[in-house]
Amino acid sequence: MPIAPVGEFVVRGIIQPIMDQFATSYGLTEPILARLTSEHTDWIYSHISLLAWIIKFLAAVIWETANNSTLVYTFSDFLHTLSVNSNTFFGNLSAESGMSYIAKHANYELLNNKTLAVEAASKFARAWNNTVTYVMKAFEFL
Amino acid sequence: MPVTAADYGEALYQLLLAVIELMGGSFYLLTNNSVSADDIWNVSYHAASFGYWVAKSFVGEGGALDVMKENVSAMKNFTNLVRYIGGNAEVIFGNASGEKGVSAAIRNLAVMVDEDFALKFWNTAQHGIKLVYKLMENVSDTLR
Repeated sequence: MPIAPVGEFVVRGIIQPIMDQFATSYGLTEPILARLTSEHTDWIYSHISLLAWIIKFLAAVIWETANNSTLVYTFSDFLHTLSVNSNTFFGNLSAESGMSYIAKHANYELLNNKTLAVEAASKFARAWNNTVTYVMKAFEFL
Repeated sequence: MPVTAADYGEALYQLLLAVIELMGGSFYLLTNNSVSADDIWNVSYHAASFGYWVAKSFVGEGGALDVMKENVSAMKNFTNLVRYIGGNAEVIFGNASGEKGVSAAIRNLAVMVDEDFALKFWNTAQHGIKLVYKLMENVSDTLR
């Protein structure tokens, strides 16, 4: 039984929250960029180091799994469960089910609602502009 | 004490090494005989289909980039980004001698590459090729 029209769901539940994420992103970075000091280089350095160790952690989990027959079996079982349900979970190119169905309808809403599409594109561009500048400023001070 | 280009070089080295280890481990795990090639194909195809529909809203016709180029307000942000990078290219990306910006960090990264790094790189490439072989052996059963 339908709980909401798909168009309403994707606008309020998917597109609006993503636009809010973009607004949060530039809302945080714009005031920082306006008062940036040379210590910003240290800040980005710490983030690169943190990212490296998070990836090292994930690599350790993967290698531990790959070298242990019980864990390989558990992983294989997980992959098989995901595989037999992947059409339901991800959907396919015709996007009649799963997350592809939601993504397709989000695309349709953006195509059919020009005001919404312009607002989303503006926020996306503003967030992208500020995020790239925020990271590149660290190399400028280096 | 503020961090230097050498510190950035070391951080980037660790980041790159971690990515190579993660990719190598993933390829090695997926080439294990207990892991079904059918399952890898099935999940990859459906995940890629979802990725296609997500990407369409950003780069497809009527997507964010398409709308941006026809709207002054959205385009202004993109132009500002290009102007900032273009106007500061040498400070950001550096120069041929590797004394500034990203080039200085990469110069320090390049001198850190050792036998262990190169060994992990080629081991990852080998596991990657084995995974491609495994998937291609199975391709005629999967795609008809």
